[in-house]
Amino acid sequence: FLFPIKMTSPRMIKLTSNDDKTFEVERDVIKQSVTVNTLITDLNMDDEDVSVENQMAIPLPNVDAATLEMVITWCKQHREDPPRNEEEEEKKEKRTDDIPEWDKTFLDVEQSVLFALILAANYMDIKGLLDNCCKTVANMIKGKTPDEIRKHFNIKNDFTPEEEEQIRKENAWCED
Amino acid sequence: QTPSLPTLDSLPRENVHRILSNLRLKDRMIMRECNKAMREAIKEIDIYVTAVTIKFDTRCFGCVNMILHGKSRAETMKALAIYTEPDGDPHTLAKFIALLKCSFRRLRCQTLLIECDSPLVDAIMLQKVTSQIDFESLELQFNKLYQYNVVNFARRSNCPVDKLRMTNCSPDLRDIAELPSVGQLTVIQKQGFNDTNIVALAKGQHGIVKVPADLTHPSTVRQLIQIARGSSLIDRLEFTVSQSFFHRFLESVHLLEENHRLLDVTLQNSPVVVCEFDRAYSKRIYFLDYGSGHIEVLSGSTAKMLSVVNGKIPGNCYPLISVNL
Repeated sequence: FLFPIKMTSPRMIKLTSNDDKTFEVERDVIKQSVTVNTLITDLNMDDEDVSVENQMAIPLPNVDAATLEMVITWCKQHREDPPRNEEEEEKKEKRTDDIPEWDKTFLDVEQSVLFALILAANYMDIKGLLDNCCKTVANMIKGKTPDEIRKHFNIKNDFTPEEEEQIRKENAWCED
Repeated sequence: QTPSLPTLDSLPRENVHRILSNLRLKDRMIMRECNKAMREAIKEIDIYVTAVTIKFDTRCFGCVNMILHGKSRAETMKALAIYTEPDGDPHTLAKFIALLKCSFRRLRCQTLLIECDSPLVDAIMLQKVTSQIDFESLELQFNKLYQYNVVNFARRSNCPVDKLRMTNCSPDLRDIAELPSVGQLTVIQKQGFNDTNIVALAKGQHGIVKVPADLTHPSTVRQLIQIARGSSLIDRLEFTVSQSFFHRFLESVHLLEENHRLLDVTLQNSPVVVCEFDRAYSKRIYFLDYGSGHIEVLSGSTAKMLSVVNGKIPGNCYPLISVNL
């Protein structure tokens, strides 16, 4: 009574970055990207019995290879996460001290890399990654003075001295 | 040519909103100072806090304390300190709301608590405040003196029924509970006393029994007068009724007179009314108008009126001052 066990390898999906680098990623991992997931469904790619070699790669024209690699790493790490209920997430009190330790280390990168990740997460519609990136940036802002924030993020002050004074007056009630 | 690296102010606005939404009130205010784009981005998002408490401090006439919860304790205390200035401006609340409107899209909170223990907090002010802040539940805290303001608000307001919650109510909430707009009213009587308590209180009293009667039920008024009539200890019953409830109070008294109408009164500019029944329980009602100093007798003897004037202004009379924001 021995039944043959069919060993099936995980279904793979090909993604191409805007600098023409192609990545193979498990279907189960990339399902966290709503954009990619929708494309796969719309193109009936799940039904096709096509080997990965012959499969059409999904182009991601807004994401470069370095960023896409990071996105895939993040998705692999979070593949077991329960699905997010966006309505519930919206209702929750906003906090930035709940970033998982792995993500904290992962997102401890150059600002430009972090912003590129935000853009990619936004384009690929990966809410968990987007949220944690935004919280990381918020943590960089917290407790800084306007000057420190401008310096840290290289923001140009385009206020006239009068406008600056007006805003300071408006903000006076919450200052020390 | 290499594309320029992304920066905070080059991100799409929806991403900037998402980042800023994670900031607390103070950091958002600071971000407003960074540059025009950030100021506008802040204005395009709601600020959400768990609770907003608005206190109207009677000691400094019109001074408003607004505490924004969902912040650190230190920040809360700072906000509190700003709004407890001894020379509080009666327009502080209006200014603060204007500031909120220019700084943020909406102020949203789970619970909006307004402490209404002040004559300043009338129905109009309550409507103004509740229309400026989005809340999931509204809690109005008040004591018996200014309960009529809350009743008036509840009568006029479009506030959904499940958002009104009242605490510290006394002496009787039947009027409020019967209002159509607050059918699902939750009442928490922390320290108030109800009609049963008033009657019990009166039974044990002697001398002059003073009753704040704004929301005392007609049957309780009748019961009290009957108790006083049957008691050798009680010399006099004094009811304090504010303008809003005067007619209602008269109706309770009418019931005593059966088919005989006691008084036909139109009340004009009399913020505080003291109704007095003397030992003989005759039909004397005196009006004390603290606003103008004018005293009008609608029924009863002049001599009795003068004794009230020269003697004592009953301690349970409260001048009411109306202030428009």
